[in-house]
Amino acid sequence: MLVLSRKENESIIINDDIIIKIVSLKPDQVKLGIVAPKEVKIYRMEIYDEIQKENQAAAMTAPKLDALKDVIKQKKE
Amino acid sequence: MERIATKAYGEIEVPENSAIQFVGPILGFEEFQYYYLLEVRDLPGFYWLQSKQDANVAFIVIDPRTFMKDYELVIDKIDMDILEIGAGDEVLDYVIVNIPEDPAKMTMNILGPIVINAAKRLGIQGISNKNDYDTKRPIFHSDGEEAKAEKEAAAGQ
Repeated sequence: MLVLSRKENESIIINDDIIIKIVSLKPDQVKLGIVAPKEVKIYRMEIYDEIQKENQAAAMTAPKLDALKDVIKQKKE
Repeated sequence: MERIATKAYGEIEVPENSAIQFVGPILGFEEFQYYYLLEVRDLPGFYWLQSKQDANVAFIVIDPRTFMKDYELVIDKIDMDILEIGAGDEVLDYVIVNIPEDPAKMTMNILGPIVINAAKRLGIQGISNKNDYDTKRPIFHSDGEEAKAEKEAAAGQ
């Protein structure tokens, strides 16, 4: 991993067209401003992790489909 | 027809070339690119998203609107673009459900919707841009919760 030191209001540029700026610095939080072409997807990493975790949980289960059928029948009544 | 191995039903026959290629991966399952969409027997509206490469990799998906009338699919344009949706292409969208030991506690992942261009057999897992969408949205509400919600609504009037 490349590690760079930056101060408030300083930026880095990636691949000629993505700019990440340190907007503000607090002891426990950094605010980042990002300028990027609209085809670049930007998400908080936790979102990816959360979806990945949930996918794994869903794929692992051997669902009891007969029990599910009963629940659905019951809810419709 | 071609024979495929499935998690739920062992070997079954499906029409040839019916696999869907996930051009935007199911997160955590990047190595599994091809899936079949199969009806869950005796459960209308429920489908298996069955990996072509590994019979053990399979998800159950549903149309979230069945259980959440105001559901909206809002994902990035770039994700929609990779589905190459042309005029007249049928687009299907689902969410993966997680069915625990007690199926009444089943949840759906509305944060990471599955979107499929049925005509071109292309699929993605997108990321919802709706702020309040999460990965564990309950599908059924317990009677207690419904009663509580009604009570709160009545108190608010």
